[in-house]
Amino acid sequence: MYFFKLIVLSLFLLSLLFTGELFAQNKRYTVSGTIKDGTSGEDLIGATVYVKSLKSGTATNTYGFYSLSLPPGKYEVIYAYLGYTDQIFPLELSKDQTIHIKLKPAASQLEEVVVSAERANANVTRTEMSVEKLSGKTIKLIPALMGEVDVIKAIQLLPGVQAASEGTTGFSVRGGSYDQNLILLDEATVYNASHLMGFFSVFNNDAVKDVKLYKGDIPATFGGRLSSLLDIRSRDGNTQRLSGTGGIGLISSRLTLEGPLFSEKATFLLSGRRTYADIFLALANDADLRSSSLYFYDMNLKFNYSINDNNRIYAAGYLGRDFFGMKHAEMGFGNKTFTLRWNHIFSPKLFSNFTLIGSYYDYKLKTNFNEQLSEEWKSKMEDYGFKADFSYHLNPSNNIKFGYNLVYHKFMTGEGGGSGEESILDRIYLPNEYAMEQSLYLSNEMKIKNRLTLKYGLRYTLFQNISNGEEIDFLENYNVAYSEQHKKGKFYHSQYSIEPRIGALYQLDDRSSLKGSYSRTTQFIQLASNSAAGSPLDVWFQASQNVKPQHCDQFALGYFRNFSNNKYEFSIEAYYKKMKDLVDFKDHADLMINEDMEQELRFGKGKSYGLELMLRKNSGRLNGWISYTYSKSERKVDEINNNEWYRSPFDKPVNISIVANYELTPKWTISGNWVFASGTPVTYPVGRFQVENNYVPIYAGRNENRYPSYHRLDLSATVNLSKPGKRLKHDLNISVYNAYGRKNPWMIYFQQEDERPDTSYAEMIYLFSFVPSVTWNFTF
Amino acid sequence: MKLKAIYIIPALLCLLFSCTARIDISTKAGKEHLVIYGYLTDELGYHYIKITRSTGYFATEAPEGVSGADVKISTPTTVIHLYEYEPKSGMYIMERMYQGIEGEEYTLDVSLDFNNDGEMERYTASSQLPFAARVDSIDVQKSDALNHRVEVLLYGQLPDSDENHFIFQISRNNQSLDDSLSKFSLISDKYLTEKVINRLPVYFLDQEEEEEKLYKGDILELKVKTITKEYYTFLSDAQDEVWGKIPIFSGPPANIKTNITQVEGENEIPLVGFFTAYSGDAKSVLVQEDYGE
Repeated sequence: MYFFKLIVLSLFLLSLLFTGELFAQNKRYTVSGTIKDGTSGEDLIGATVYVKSLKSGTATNTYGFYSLSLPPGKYEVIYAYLGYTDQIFPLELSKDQTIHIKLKPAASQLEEVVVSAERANANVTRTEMSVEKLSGKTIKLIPALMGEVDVIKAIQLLPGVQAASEGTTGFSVRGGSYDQNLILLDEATVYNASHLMGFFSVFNNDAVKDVKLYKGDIPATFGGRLSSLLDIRSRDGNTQRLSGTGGIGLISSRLTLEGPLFSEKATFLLSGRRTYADIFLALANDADLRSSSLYFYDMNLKFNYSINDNNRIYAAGYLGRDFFGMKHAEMGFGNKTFTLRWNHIFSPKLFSNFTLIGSYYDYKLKTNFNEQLSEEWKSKMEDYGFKADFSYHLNPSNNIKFGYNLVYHKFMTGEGGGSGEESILDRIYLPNEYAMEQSLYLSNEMKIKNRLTLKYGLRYTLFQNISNGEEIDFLENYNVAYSEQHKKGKFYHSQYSIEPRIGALYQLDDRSSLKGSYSRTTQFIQLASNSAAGSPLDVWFQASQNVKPQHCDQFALGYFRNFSNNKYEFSIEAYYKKMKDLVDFKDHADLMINEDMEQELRFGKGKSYGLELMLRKNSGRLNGWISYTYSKSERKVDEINNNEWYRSPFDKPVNISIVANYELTPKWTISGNWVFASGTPVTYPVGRFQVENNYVPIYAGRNENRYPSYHRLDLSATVNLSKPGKRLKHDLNISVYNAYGRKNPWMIYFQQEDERPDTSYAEMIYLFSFVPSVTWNFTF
Repeated sequence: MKLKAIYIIPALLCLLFSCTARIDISTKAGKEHLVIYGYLTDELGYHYIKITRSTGYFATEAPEGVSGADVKISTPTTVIHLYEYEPKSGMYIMERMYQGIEGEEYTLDVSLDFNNDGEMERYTASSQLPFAARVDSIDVQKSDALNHRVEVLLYGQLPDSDENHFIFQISRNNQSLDDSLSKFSLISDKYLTEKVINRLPVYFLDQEEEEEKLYKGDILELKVKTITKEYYTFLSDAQDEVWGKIPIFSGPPANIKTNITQVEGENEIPLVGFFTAYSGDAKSVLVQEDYGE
């Protein structure tokens, strides 16, 4: 603790040292306020405020708030946001001022199509790197599987991001595992972001305002996962009038209603979606299948109230569930999250946000093939948290952020067994896991000169296991060495991490910049899954006396360049990641209903490195991006692969994505994306031996082989059916997933010929070959 | 019984969206492994051990037997020698009929020059023959829960230890319906509350599958083999490898651990296989009605 205090103090003093001008500079006044969409009243995240004469500016935070300190004088302040008309505000500054701005969407429909949602050269001027942003509008244009517009499928098209497996919403960022991504919906953790075995994500795009993916350079404000942060913010609701958005598709329908409540000060948003795959099951020949249920639904609810200029409260909730039921078996799983936020502006320079957060995930299974063998199983996890975040605009050169974060984890790993009076199956209770995770952070973004900006910060996390009152095993060489028992509720084991986050921006000119960053991230909870893509039945487990937290050090360098008056953005980033205390599992690990699961773990290290190129066109009739990634990802884990390095399951060296939208006419828009990826690493057999009339494979090195390369083309066309002057705006979207029917292997397995049992052959299972869909979308 | 059924629902769901196709892949040839596999049981008979060489995965021939081995199985009081049944067959059969004894520890001892370096290597493995489950009788009935299925019901008693492991095998008119590893029904009783079993369905025969159809007059036999935990793990792991890996549920492929160790020989020989002892009991029933559709 002493060490931490020392570092924090040093960092703070260091920041003051560099900011000596604080004490020396002339009198300054602060202009602050919010920037909103002039049509819907939604806060605009990342909108810019720029004073050209001083070459000074800032951007709105995630709540649409900005703060800028300037010497007294007359200025022209430019408020801008891509896809919106700039607003130039004449300002005579002689005292602190609050200015709220409403920007109007760009008049030209053709220009309305935007790919990113920031100021024109934000790519070059923002200090953060390794960050990708997508707006709900962009995501909607991307052709989607079965017409289900999907946030996570969209981010899988970005450089450095790849799908964990064909068709799934599990994703790997820069060679990391899919459980190394922190997925936040309005700041609440979403533990399983998938519907329907991972083929769709839990995020209803109609309710999504902003999606930001940090592939590295994660701000000190956030922590808890090694690889990435996916920060999804839902929309606040229209402040001007009651409006709606919705759609009817092949497998689901959705409806979002939003509007003011009583006055412009309060808004609501209610969004719902449900699938109806059950209808197709009713057409099946098999009687069991006909009587089956298969659906998912989700709902987003948001309430927003501006008490006054300095106080706003938000309440947001999400509820989603999947259900699959047959005559004698059923399964359900789902997430619930809630967020209660209070934004308070202490002064034009000090912005604060206090948040109460809850996250919940559970699954339940039941089978009843026979009364004696009737069984059930359930598992759930709950997080309750509190966050206090502060942003202090010290002066034009320094913007300090600091805060505290507390999360209480409660994991009910599993409970079940026999159900019903006649069942002869025993009841099973896996021990519950409890822990407290507390973090403190402090960071500063410091403009040293016009061209150079530094940001540095530190995050400290303390993770404490709480006793469940049962015996706790201490392992040596993966076997129980001794046990201890502690009183229920007692903190019996603590581990901490200190995570520096450092970055620098050197702006070469208005169009180009160099950026570098280093960040350390730590992960205290992880998935008990060694599969390639994860399933709803996976449970999370905590760092403990036997499991160290995983650490990752990431270094990144990048060159950013805009062309043709910021029409085109180009970036090239190189990264190197070094991971230690990485968790993997022994060969043939037993992870399901295992009281001694920690004995199945093996620990090691990993590294990944790569180069990411991105060329993006943000506006105009033709827009989209081309990305190319070259990367490697390797691991070395105790007892695995003879203790030699091996390819991680996410080592796919070459990844290419091309995403394009073209507005043919005001009525017709066509879109397409093509993806190519090196084949997934796999272990093929190099020999065989016979056991009980079957050939059992013999393997050499883990992941030495690869599946065939993956590629796929998706196409869509949208026809605008709206009539001029009518409030109802609607369109019809026709799309084809995997347009040329590429058979990308999802799984390869081996069989013996029936007639010649000594002859083996390989067979692949592939999914989703040429899937057409139609969706009708509307707004009013 | 470890709730493996919970995988059934999600697996079915995935398969709803899937298609299959043959695919050509090339794999490099690995090192040749010595394969020793066999067991003895509590049934009186000429038990045998097979010693073979592993082959490339896409070989089209049966594995080649290893000749010239000195093979014996011993207890603290008895040594039984095994001789190659036919030249080059690799099948080593007991010199006399033998019936394993419950609770007895058996040690396999194999000496041979596998790599032809002029020096004999020696390999050993041990296994304790578990106490048998008793099968009192069996019965069949149409399943209420599953369409087109007939349940095979077991009456009997399981050994009185905390955890037992079994292979349930079924045959109809003396013809095995599950004579390959991939079809084995492997069961643990760790989570069973009762050791006395009364009408427990242990097998579900699909009456739409030609080979599983039951007709009046058929004789159905259920064999319950009580096996060691180690052998259960070996078979279960091997079965996982034979079945293949579903990306969202399965871990990466991995070699199956053997319980056979090389105790002599300069060079370490790559080795796979298993030696075990198990007990068994079986009962038959005469099928009284036509179930086959």
